[in-house]
Amino acid sequence: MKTCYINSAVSISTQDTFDVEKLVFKPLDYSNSTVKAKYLEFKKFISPIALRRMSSAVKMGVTASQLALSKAEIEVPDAILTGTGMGCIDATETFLEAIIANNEDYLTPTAFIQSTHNTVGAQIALGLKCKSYNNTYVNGAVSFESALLDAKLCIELDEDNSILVGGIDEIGATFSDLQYKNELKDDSEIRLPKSEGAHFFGLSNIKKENSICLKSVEVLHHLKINSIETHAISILKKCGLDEVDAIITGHKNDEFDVYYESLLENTFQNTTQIAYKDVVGDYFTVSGFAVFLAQYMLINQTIPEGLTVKQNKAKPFKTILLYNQEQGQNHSFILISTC
Amino acid sequence: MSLQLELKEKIIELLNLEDIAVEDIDNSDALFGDGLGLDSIDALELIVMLDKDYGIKLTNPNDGKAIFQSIDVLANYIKTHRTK
Amino acid sequence: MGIISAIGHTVEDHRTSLMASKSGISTISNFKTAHANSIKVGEIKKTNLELSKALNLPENHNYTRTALLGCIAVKEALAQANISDVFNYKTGLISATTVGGMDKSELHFPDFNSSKNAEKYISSHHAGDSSNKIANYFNITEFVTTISTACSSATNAIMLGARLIRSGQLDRVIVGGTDPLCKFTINGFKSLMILSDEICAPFDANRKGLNLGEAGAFLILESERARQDKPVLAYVSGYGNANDAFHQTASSENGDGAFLAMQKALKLAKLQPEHIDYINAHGTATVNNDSSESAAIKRLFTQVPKFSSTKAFTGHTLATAGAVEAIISILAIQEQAVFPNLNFKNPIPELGLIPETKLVSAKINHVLSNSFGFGGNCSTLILSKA
Repeated sequence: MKTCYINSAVSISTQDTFDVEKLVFKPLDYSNSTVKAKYLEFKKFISPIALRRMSSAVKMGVTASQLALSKAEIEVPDAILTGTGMGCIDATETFLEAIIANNEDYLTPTAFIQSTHNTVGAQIALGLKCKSYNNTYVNGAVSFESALLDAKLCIELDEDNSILVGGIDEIGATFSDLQYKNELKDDSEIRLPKSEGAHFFGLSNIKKENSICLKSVEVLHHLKINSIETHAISILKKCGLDEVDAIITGHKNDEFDVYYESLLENTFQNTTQIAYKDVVGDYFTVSGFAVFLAQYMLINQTIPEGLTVKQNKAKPFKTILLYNQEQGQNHSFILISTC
Repeated sequence: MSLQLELKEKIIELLNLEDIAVEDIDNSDALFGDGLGLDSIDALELIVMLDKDYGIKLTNPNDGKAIFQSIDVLANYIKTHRTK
Repeated sequence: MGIISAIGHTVEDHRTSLMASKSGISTISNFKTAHANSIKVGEIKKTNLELSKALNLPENHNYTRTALLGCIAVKEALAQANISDVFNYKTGLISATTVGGMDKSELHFPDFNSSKNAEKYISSHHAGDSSNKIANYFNITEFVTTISTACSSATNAIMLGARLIRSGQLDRVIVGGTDPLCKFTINGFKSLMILSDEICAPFDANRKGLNLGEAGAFLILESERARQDKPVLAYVSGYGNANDAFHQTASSENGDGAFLAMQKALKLAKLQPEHIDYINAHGTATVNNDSSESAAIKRLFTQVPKFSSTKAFTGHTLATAGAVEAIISILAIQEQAVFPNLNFKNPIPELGLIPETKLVSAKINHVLSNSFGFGGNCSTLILSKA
């Protein structure tokens, strides 16, 4: 079985994360229900004729994918696999509003076409004239992980040599705000704002200078709270490890954080623990940011400033475990290491 | 305002042609293919525009090909067929 | 296998309708739309309330029609595969949908902020919700995901399922899709001017467009280990996915994506084109799809095998189409019969392909089934006789 390497990691988020040498995070604005990503000058990356119909999800996705491919030295990948929780929600809302406002009359197709969940993956393929395997996963908080798992299998089973994997979500005018308010009602604590971003990675079976190893990706629909720790340990065992150098969790400051606490309270209580959603906000594919962060830590051997860190131990980072869940379901574990 | 100018403004706005100005489109320029570079999705947008703004209903999207040749051709077609 | 569509509520219903050449296309009646009189659809004549009752759901549930159709189909599939315990082998679920919770969102979009009854459907909007509901209903705790690549989605779900079994990640995986009719897709396809006001006529020279349909359809894939001594309905012997990379909605004239997907599937199955006994074509009856698909078939097959599109039976069930047609392909293998391509009269002049228009008996060992979608997504599945 071949080894799966991550050869590049690119992030567009609410912070300055796109193509920067050094990551420094500033506190996130909690005053509104939504925070937009830092948009780039997309004209630099996409032709005007293509750009004119693109929503922010497509612009972010296409731009991030270009840099991920060039950093990984992949011209045209053997597969393009994307994940998105809400899909192209902006175009979806636009078309829905038009149906209601015009009573199903005078409708034009542009927003409908753009609303399709696979728009980002399809536009990347169209731009590259890439005729190979193309797939899009849309399962809430494991959308990105599903794409990552599929990519890992394709490389290990030798179906493909180089794969572009990405997670994208955008904020629309309505649904992000509705979701925020809906969750707010469940408990009265201050909630993380909803946000957006794109995270793309160049994967391959060839080790390069800045490669890291994708050791394990596990997606589980349901997991009892008291079995999370044993499950994490079993993943490490399968990869021949007894411990990891850091754990990155999806803490959101809500009642479901107990799942993360349960992982961290025994065996891993002295392991370096890092949370990240408090600086980049919350959306279904934000877990892609965690992989970007882990790659940065393994390559630069440092934790970026501005993150919430517990048990910060001074030692080299060789292995990092990522754990995320969505309201007690859609659990994911990702294990990444230096090569 | 001439119908030609009105159509140019509408096309730019409707099709999000941000970097193109009214002056950039010649009345006889091809709108599709090598000219302005519009495609089949744009044609469907223009069909709805004809219906909504000029009361012209096209039922076969293929009829668009001849009508949307250029601004001049389109303007002439509208002059003859408009119901509003 | 389990399926609910316009031609029946069970696999046996489907067998009966297909053998009797009985189309399920009708006029829409479950909900109001301005286009009711100008389109024909493949509608399941059961209300959400009836479906909820069949699943014994509590009254205040927030299952969308997408989740309901999915649960009905999975229920039949589990029963047919004689699975009462999903914990005895590692069991996953891969579902496909394009609209997700849109059937409820389009109803409640204006009053999400003000109505208690609407509020519960905010969290059911996203595409993963229906899969999560199906997983929770049947206690699936392992790998669960959803695929959305427009009209090729369910074929990709079957592909991923096969890959997960091949790699030993799962012993058993429930694969398929669910998509209900809703105003969003009706108006979307209407705006593309590709909906027909008659029962669709795939591959006909004068085809006028497609009929939208709705369905829930699932198959259960098992490893040799999990199968034990159960009978095998068919083997997934090949699959292929390629992108046309030509245009956002239109297929290329020579059908590059379709050609590559079929070629990849044959290669994985270690079969030659002449081994294919029947092609269940995507055949949506749009001008663009049928000519592009015909061109691709002609490029790959020097001798075109018996083929038909069954869209005039079920309508185009979007994300579910690949699973609906995988089941139809398996029924074709079981019956050793090619189901007819209804309403065909004249071949497309420049391509000249003539599908089977009547039910015909044939020796069928390998069926090739195509599903293509927006964004150039082309997927092919090869199902083989056990």
